[in-house]
Amino acid sequence: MVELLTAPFEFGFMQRALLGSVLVGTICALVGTYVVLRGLAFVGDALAHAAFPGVVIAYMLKGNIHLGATVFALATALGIGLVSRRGRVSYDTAIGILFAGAFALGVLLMSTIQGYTVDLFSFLFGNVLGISGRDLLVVGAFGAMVLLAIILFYKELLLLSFDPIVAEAMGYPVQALNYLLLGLIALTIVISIQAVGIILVVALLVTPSATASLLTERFFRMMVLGVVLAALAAVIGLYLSYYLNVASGAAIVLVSTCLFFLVLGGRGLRISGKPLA
Amino acid sequence: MSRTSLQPLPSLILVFLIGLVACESRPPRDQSSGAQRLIVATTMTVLADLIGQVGGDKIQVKALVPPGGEVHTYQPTPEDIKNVAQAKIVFYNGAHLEEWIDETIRSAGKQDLQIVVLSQGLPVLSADGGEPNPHLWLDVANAKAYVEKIRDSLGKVDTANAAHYADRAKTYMAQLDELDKWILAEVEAIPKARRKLVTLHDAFPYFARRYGFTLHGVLVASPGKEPSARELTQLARRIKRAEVPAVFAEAQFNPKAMEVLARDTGVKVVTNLYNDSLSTGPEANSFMALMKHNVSQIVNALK
Amino acid sequence: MDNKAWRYCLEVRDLTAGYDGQRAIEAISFAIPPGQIVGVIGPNGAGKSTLFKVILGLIPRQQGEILLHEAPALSQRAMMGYLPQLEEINRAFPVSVQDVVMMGRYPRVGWCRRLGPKDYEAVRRALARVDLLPHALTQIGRLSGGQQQRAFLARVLAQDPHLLLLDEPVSGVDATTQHAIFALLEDLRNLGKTVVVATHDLNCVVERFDQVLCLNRRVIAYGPPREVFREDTLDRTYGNHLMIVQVGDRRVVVADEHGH
Repeated sequence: MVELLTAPFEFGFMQRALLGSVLVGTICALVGTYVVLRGLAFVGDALAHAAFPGVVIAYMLKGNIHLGATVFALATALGIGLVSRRGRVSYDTAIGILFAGAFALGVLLMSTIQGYTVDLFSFLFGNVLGISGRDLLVVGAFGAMVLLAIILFYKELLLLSFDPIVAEAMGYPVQALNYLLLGLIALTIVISIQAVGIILVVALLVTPSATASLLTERFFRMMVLGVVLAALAAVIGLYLSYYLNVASGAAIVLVSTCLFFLVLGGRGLRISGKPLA
Repeated sequence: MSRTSLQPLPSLILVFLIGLVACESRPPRDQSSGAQRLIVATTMTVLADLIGQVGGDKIQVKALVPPGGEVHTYQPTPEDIKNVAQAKIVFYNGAHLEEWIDETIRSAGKQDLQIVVLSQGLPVLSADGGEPNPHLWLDVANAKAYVEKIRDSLGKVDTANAAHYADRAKTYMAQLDELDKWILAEVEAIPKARRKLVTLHDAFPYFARRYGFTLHGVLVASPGKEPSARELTQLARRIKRAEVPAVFAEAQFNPKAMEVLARDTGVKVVTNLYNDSLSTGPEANSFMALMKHNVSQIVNALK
Repeated sequence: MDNKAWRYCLEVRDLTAGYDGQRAIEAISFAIPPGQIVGVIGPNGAGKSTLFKVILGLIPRQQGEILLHEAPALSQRAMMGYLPQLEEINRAFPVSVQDVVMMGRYPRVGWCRRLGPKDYEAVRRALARVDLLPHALTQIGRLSGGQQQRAFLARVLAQDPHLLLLDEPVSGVDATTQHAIFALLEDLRNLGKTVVVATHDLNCVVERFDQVLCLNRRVIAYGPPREVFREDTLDRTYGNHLMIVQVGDRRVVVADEHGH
């Protein structure tokens, strides 16, 4: 039995994959709480795609991929805020414009590179088994920044998410807080791309938090539960990837999805909606 | 306040678009221009080199996949179809390497196009009863068979220059013989117990069989497929158990996963072997250079 | 400083504002001394909500001045408590009634600081004032409409502002709650708070409020209800849809056609 549990973690890459995916899942669930409650899943998806040109440029300049992705995700976060504020353009239209534009820029730049580009595609899908020690440090550092911001601005972000109008009436710089939140989402996405890639990153960002929202009616508990669910999905997903011989990132996401539907089903079975917690 | 829907479809469309645009607007790959030269199309730069060695200045070769391009997962462009349509004769490797070539040729819609499948008739290796492995040319004996086929096919299409082709092929095959001997001699520098290969994708069975290496696994079963945790762990165990001295990654792939694996198993890693494609730099810009480069890298790492 | 020490709590001078170059309110001027309940009345679209939002800085002003205690109101927004007409909240949001009321304490606690026992005490008192103490731990979306309204009012109370801007605080609540809320507002006035209430319920205004501001894009009239509530003023405010009926010593305002 113990052998069954420890066998997958014989080598460093699996230990790092476990640590990395639990870390990434944790950060995603923290930020995902806001994403789910404010309905920002589409923004998350957009920022993930918008990181792509950053990846390509970093690749072309032989620079740091994380840095490139961060710059572009943050710039797009800023752009979404600006465009939607400037004009008669709705929020999701602004997002649609910027996200497709940024992604097209990535595609265009990629087409200018001669040869040897095939593995830029690997950023679209990610590889949690390829996490290096240095990647873990980056994830840890970014994660610490996100966590610190959430601790420092816990009250303000909660008020902003619940009632932005009253927050503004009270004198809070609502725009700045919105940018802060978008920035946190952008950072979270950058560190998650390594694990699950651009296409699946939204799942990591929303699913555990959405599941948690079904289980509790308290904000803080939702955050904690989200973290637990994300970590659980990471661990189970990695075991499945080992024992069922399937791709790791997709396994983690699918476990998360299954947990969501299990909870949803469990709620449906109980007599109309009394909260668990 | 209520948008929580995922958007998988746009993502997939965008992935598809990258594929399309990534292949767009590439500068012409063949700079030579000649008035009456026989126009030949082929898939890979390696084959283009072999064909060029035989044809010399009587032909003009166009390789569809650019240097560094990934031949297995390549997506042909409109320009490729045009190139095929302009050619008199098309050479490709076959053995399921270029799954996309049939459609390209069909799209070109040319009735009198000569099509030569270079691996045809040669014995192919299959992994555990699976698909045939297409990387025959990494065994110089197979490369020589390719050259013979190229010589005969060019001579048939362009009878006026048949003697020219035969001449050049003879010279080149002599060089290939030298290369073959050189490789066998070089490999002698590696102790027998250390002649073990682990590569990123499964490109080296013909090479291994010819030059006395045993294969101890690959990182990705087929290009574009992410390894599972189990596959990676089993590979790591094999590396440890068989005391494989080094692992190799092919230059057209992201070497990161291989580097990570090498570090975890405590072995050396070499990340610039060439197989499907010639290099853009000088290290492997012809078939001859490619083989010498690979052998030097392998010998250095394993001896 | 104590609210009562000032001559005026809120002064609005020549205020014009609106969206997209449109003028929703124009040349508004009035001043409210501390310790008064002021009703803002007017038909739909008269600019009542806009006036509140401009005072709170939610809509930029095109012209004019807003002073709270003789200083620009926008620099001391924590001193103003706001109850929006329609709380556009996500009803499923995972916060309890107590959490919501606690949000009123945030401006006082300040950035990056933790809530203290004083804040919990203030929340408890606010909940007790609106009679929601038994529901303190209920999720906000599970309350009835009237209870939710009281919870948001409790948030304003917990904030302990000098000026309260309440946009339709009694719409959609039952008569008992209405009376409780108005009694509460009177308590606040007696504590020296200034309470501005936008309302459709003119009878409450007559009976309970100190001043009334008749608004229809411009100030039609401003003064004690008995002076302001004359046929011609109401006509100019509402068009011809309201009548004043004398019942014994009470004046009752009734809607003529539509209106309220």
